[in-house]
Amino acid sequence: MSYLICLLTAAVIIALYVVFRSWVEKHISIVLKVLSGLLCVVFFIRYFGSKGSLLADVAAVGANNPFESGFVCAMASICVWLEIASITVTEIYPYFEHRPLMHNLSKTFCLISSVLNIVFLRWTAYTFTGSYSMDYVSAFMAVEVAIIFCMSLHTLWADKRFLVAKGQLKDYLVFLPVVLIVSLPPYTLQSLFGNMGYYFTTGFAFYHRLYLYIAVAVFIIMYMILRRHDREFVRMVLLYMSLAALVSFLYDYDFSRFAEPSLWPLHLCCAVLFVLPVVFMFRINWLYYFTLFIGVAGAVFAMFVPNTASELGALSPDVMRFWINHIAVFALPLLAVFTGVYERPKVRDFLYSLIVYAAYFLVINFVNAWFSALYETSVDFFFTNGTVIMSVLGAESLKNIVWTVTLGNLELTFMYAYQLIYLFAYAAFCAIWYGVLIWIFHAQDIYLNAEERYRDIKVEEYALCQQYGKKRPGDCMNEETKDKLVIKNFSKRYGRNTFYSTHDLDIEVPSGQICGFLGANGAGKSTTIKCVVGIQPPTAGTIEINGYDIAKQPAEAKAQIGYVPDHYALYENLTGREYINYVADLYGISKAERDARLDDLLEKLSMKDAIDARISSYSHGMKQKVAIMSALVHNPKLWILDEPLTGLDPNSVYEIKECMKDHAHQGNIVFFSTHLLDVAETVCDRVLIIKHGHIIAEVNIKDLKAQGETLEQFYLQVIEEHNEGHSPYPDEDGPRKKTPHAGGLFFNRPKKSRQDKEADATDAAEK
Amino acid sequence: MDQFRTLFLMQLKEKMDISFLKSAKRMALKVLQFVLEFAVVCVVAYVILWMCQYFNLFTPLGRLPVGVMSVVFAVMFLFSIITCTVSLSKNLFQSKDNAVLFALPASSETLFFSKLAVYLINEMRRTFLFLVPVFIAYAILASLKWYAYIWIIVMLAIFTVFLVLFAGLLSIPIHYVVRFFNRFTAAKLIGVLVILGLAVWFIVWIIGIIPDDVNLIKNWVAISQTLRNALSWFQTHLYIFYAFTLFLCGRYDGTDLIFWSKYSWAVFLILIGCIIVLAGLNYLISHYLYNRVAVPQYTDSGEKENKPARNRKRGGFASSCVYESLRLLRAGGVLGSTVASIIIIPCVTVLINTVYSAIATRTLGDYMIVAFNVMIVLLLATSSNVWTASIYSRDGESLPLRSAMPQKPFPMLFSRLAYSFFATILMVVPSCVIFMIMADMATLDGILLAVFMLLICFGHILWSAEMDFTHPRIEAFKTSGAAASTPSEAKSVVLSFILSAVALGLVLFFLTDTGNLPYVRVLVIAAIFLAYRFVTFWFRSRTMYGFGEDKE
Amino acid sequence: MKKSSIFLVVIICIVSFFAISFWGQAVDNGQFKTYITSITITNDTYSIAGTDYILVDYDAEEGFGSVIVQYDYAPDDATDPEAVSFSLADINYLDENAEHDENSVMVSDMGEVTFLVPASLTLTIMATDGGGAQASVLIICS
Repeated sequence: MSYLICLLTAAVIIALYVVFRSWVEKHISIVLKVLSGLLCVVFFIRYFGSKGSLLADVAAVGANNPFESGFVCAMASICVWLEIASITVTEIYPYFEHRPLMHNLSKTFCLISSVLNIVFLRWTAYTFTGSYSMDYVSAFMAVEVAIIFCMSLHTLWADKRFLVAKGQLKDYLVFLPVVLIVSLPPYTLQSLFGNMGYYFTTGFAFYHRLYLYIAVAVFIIMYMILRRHDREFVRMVLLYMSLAALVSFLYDYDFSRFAEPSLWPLHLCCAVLFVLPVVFMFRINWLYYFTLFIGVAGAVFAMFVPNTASELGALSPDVMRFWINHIAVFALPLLAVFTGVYERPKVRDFLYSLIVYAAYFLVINFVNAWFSALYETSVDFFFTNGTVIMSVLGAESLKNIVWTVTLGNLELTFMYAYQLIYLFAYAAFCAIWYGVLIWIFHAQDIYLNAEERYRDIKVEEYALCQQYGKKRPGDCMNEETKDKLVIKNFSKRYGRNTFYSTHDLDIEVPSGQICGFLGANGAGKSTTIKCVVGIQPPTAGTIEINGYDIAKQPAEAKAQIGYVPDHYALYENLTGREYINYVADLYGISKAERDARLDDLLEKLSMKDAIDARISSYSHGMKQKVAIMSALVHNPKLWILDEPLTGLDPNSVYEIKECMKDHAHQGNIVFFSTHLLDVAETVCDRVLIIKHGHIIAEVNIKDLKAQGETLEQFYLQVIEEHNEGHSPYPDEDGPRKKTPHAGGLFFNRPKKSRQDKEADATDAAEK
Repeated sequence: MDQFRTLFLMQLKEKMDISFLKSAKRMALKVLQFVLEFAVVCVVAYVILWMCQYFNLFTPLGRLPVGVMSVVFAVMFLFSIITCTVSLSKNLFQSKDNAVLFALPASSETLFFSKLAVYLINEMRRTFLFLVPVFIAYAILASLKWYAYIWIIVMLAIFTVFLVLFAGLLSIPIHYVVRFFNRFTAAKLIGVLVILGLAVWFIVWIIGIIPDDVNLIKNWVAISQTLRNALSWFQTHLYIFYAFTLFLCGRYDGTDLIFWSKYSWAVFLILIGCIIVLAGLNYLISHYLYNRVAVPQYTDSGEKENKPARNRKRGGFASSCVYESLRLLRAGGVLGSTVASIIIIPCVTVLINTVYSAIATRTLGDYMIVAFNVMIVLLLATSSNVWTASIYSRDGESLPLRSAMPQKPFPMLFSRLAYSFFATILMVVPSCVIFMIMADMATLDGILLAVFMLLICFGHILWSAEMDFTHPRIEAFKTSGAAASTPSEAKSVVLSFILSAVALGLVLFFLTDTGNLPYVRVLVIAAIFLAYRFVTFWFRSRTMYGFGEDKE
Repeated sequence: MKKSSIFLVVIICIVSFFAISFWGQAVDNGQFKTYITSITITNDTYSIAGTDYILVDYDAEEGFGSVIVQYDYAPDDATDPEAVSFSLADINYLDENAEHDENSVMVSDMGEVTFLVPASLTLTIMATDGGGAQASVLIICS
């Protein structure tokens, strides 16, 4: 009979579809919504029309199995489970129709489950009605299955393919188990596997602990699954989960139960379970924060001190329902805030939720007192009207402090002392929970921040490889800048400074050249050098050393550099040799190579006798020499020195100058900053002059000599010319303009920006 | 006098952050912070003193004898005089700024006293954050009259002046002793050995006097009696401290508290006299000696014969571990404190376990003994690793140099911790062995417990170090040197306490739990903790390092 | 190591000694004992001039009179409720003609007082568990 009804319903729906095809296809979204609404109504009547499921009391492996065999029992149980899952999916499907995941679930999972359900309809109906004869429950079940079948068939029809597309397979495989697990009716596991031992609520017994771990695991796993998805998608999943948990929770409710107020689901966590679908459906902020602060805190408390009866079967429906309810109330609001569906709460939100809580508390106290008086039983929603919590805390005397008020012919009794203490203690507990939440947000920020940076690094590496067609991030990227130091559009601004220390610098030094970097104190020399060697990240622009980008391939680029800093901040507690060996180890220099090179350098820099003494005992010059040896021990392509000759004796100056020349002769680059013009003149092939973070001139020493001019004269002239009528903060946007200057020398006069001109005008006006 | 003021203010600004004086808001905050700290110390002291009184620890008369306060006072006096003398001898004679200050046109005694004054401010702060609140707590407990509070505060302030002047005087011979030890390494070695020997002797002596059967409940009367005897011995043999405390808190004549008497005025006059004499002596010595003694000295070890060494190749990471550890080993302060910890922790273990083993315990007691051992050893080990919370900032100016080398941040940062890991093993393992033997524990359990503690310690090191490289304070170490303390270090101290307390809770919980393999379970939790710390360290070193301090 | 850490260690050491002593110490019988705090005699009594007494009938034919003194103790959970002793005092022989010696009036360990001659006496029950509780009653045998 049920099969007939099922076929009939399906046939009617399909027939209607065929007849009104054009209209239906035009209004398909409405039609689907109507169908899902119909399904919802049918399901509602059927679910609460039956007195719970027979499966709640049987087990496939048990002796009291009323079915033909254990297999049939198990199949019936599984089919009921699948049906509930597919009903929930089908109900929200029309609202999230554009989601491929919903499509896939509908056309594969729902289709298969509805077919299975049609096959096992006789037995699944039996689990609810307890007889194989026809009644309205089994008839409605048949209609449900038919609607699900038709809707999934439609999805399949629209998609034209049964299999899940390759790109969507991962999501599908991840979320199908989620859908199944969250829709698990509380009795299914017991009906499949029996009791599996006993569950105790005291002393953190095994199953209690296991469920606690599961609660945390659910949150963590779901967070990991959901965090990469967009918010709407997450909202959909959370809505699904909250609905499924609600359906599970109501498994043994029927219409008669609603008539008995003491059995209404008005406990905090039960009430929140009803609120959650609303919150995810309609996005009501204040209600959501109520679930986050008050509900989650309550769930945490309840999970630690469960109020189910002890010594039940570990998989018994009561226990399962308790945990499904509380895990949902604990995990879903948290997931919503951590995945960004709702914004992180502010103090204001917390206060609002406290107000909602106070209102709930008032109402529930009134309801408790009223129902208790009306039905002459102790109604104890939220435990505000009983002695459960009092006895846990050993303060049972509080129950004697009461206030009685007469309402009509009813006498309402309030244990006001206990209730007031309860109100404030619970609010305090929620406040502590808020504190914990803030701490967790902080931890999440740290993690997300790091993750974001990590992803950026990876993306940059990938982009770099793509840009130059290389396979590994460690490869030399830019063949064009091989054997060169190339600085392009380089700017550096420290921290929150409003000005740039260097701005829009373009420098190119080919191999074999010694390039000097001149400028007054604070002109930007050291900043440039620090960025080149990778101590500071550049704010803008690129720095490439021998084809490696210092920002994107720091380790590889640094391997091309030998650096002598302006202050000899060496490791003072090591000996010179230890220090150099340490550096050599970091550069991976073989022993033979370092022996040879170090001997050579020790000879050149006359350090043989002192190299095995502690650096702390060295003089200024000796420290500088050790710094130089350590910079040269790996024969770097680029040797960078930051004011290397300051405060050295003439001998040392000579030795270092010779080293620089030797290094350049070997086809390497030497780049150094200095204040000593005569040194620059004798050593350098080219000199750059920097002022206020801009290269204002560059000069070839040979050309200069050819004109009979000294570097000192040139430098002073350039600086002087630049001082006349030039603002210290030149144009920040315009390209650098190179102005021809006597015989192959180039001046570099930045254009004034509008703001600068305006500033000048204001200055003049003030004067 | 103007010179003195200028010098004083100049040094004060350098040594202490007094910028809060300029902003009313910050000043209010500072005052609030001070009041809070004061109140906390006061409350804690009150609770402790009240408990002594409640349990009739020192007298059955239901009040707290002044003698107890005299012991507190004596202990604090000793502590302060030692710390004051040591830090004053550093401040006065070995400070780097001496080279600059002596070049200024001021007399040596002005300089000396200006330094002393700066130090006095510092010491005054300490007095007001410890000694004063403790005595105030006593005054509240003994319900002294309102004027007693003012009296106590003023007299302790005057006493601090005395303390600093006395320490200033003492610092001169101490400086000579330090110089002597610095000059003769053998003498230094002998000195260290003597101190170590004394410490070991002291511990052995303490262990010797612990009775075989400690039963606090059964022998309460006897213990209380012993305490009272000790107190009266102290009052008669170290009368000077008792006398001063009577002067501070009033003398109890059996029925009434006599506050001001001829006696107290006599003590007051003696105190003032002492201060004047000390000031005079300080003046004389500073006038004749200070500029001669305090000329900055440059150590020159260039005359030493250097053994020629050979180059040696290692892998990058191994090399980092070796050389970074070598640096720390040679840095003096770190090695000293490590060695001290390595010696002290097992000694403390022996000491507490001697007491524990004298208590006849039931099973819960045995579990508590394990848990407290874990907590105390962990607390000691982790707090001797607190300095790792500034391990990178301490590098100061050499940090940039290090980051110019081609090593990825993780191995570079991690290798720096090799020394701490190794030192921690040396701290924890001997204690565990001692505990295992003394508590008659199964070897496997002992090993598991040792590994558990090591994992927690390693986690703490990683956590502290991570705090440092994500919030570096290189600037602080550039100006103040090794003495600077960073917010990360303060956090690390708190962490060390929390971690030890959690470890205690975990061990106790799993031991008293009915389940099997309690040590394996705590070990698993510790391993998860360490793994988490390691992952965040790795993750953040790759992504955060070098972005923390973007200053020139 | 910071000074605060050292202080903390010292405090925790001391706390641990106390904690282990209070909660972890082996239970010694003499230690956590609940003493008898009071004893009440529950036999029926008569009153004379404000003094309660137990009256024992003297069977002149048998030459014998006896009574078992019954008592209640508090608290109910006293560790050692059996630890009581009975003693007699102020013995007055009512019949001066009758011969009597120290065995004429006796009390057993169970609290049974036996009179071989008529007499009055004060019986004291004393708890011997260390609590020191006691109760007395006048017994007249005539």
